[in-house]
Amino acid sequence: MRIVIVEDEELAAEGLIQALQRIEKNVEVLIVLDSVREAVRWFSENARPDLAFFDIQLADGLSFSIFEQCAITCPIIFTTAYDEYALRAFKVNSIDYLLKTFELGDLQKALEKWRLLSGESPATAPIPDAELMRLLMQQMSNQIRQPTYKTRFMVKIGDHLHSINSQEIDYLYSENKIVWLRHQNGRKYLIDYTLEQVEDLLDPADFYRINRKYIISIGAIKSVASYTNSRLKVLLKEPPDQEDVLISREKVEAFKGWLGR
Amino acid sequence: MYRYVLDSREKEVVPLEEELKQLEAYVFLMKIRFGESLQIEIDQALSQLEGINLAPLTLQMLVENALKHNEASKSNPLAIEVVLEKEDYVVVRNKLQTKLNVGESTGVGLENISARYKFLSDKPVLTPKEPGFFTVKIPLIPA
Repeated sequence: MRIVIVEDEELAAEGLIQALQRIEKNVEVLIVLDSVREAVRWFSENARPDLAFFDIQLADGLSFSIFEQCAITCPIIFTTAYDEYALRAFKVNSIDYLLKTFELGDLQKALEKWRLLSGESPATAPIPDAELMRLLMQQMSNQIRQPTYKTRFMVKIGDHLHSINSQEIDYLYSENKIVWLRHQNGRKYLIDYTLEQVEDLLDPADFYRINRKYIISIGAIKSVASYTNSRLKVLLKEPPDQEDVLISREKVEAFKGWLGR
Repeated sequence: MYRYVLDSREKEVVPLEEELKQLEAYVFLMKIRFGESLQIEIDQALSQLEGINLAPLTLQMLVENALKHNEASKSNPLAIEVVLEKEDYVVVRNKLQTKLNVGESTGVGLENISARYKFLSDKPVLTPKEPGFFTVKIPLIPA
């Protein structure tokens, strides 16, 4: 079988070749390509191999962009160090994926699957769809760029511990150096973070630090009204006791931007 | 290496000599990973210097950054140099061959280094624009 390996780390490529040779008697590794650029060039100029192994992170980018730039017509097994979650999607569009570092048995299984799928006629093996790969790439580059935000807070009520979903938070505020979390149910809970920490932990799409005292959720706002001194006054659905929630003049523009984002 | 990360983290500054040792250990590992795709040169003049401090892990972080954002392949090896400039700056410079889809830089690593040097030195960390290169100049701190 004629194989192409797309992998930017030499040791990983060598390991894969050795593993393949142990499992298969007649493996011919045509070439190891270490960048998107090289891979695109090779696949445009050469006949399709029987099978290709694709790493995801290559020297000059993500291997999905190969599918955008040229037609890949051979079946593919992805090899990657990404977690399983991100990879489920691949299953539909490739023979298999191998999570580094994989065991010989995993490779063997992937090859058996390839044989099963392409055994009768090579045309029956699933071949990656360029459009799907484009979507996957978008998803993955978003994942790389986007930090993950805190989804839950642990709070203590007496001797009991509770978990509160970030989505259930109306707002958080500090009072005498203590930070309170105000739940949609109207109750408030003490949390063990400073407002500065919370500001970094929560998704800025949903939460906004309107002044020194408050971080509010977009869902908790009933309306916003003009106030003296070019400030804004936020009317919350569940307002705090006897206090106006104000947005300072400097923050008004940014706040308006956030409301409309 | 990890021991050094843990030990040095608590310190404000570390001797240049130790930073170089750590950088060499890191480069040794990266050479195993990247092979010929990584070409890194460390100026011997640096190891001759005495009585100089740096903020811990400055050099390793800068090389990590270069590797994170730039292509390092056989056909396009990444060249990085760490050189002494006029006895008051250590310069980390790499050929600019930006990777696709790494995402916009968050600036956290470099920002963190700049912020630390604001406290440690009266000279700022510099990132002069040179076409085709990415350069960071770190002021040396007299011990």
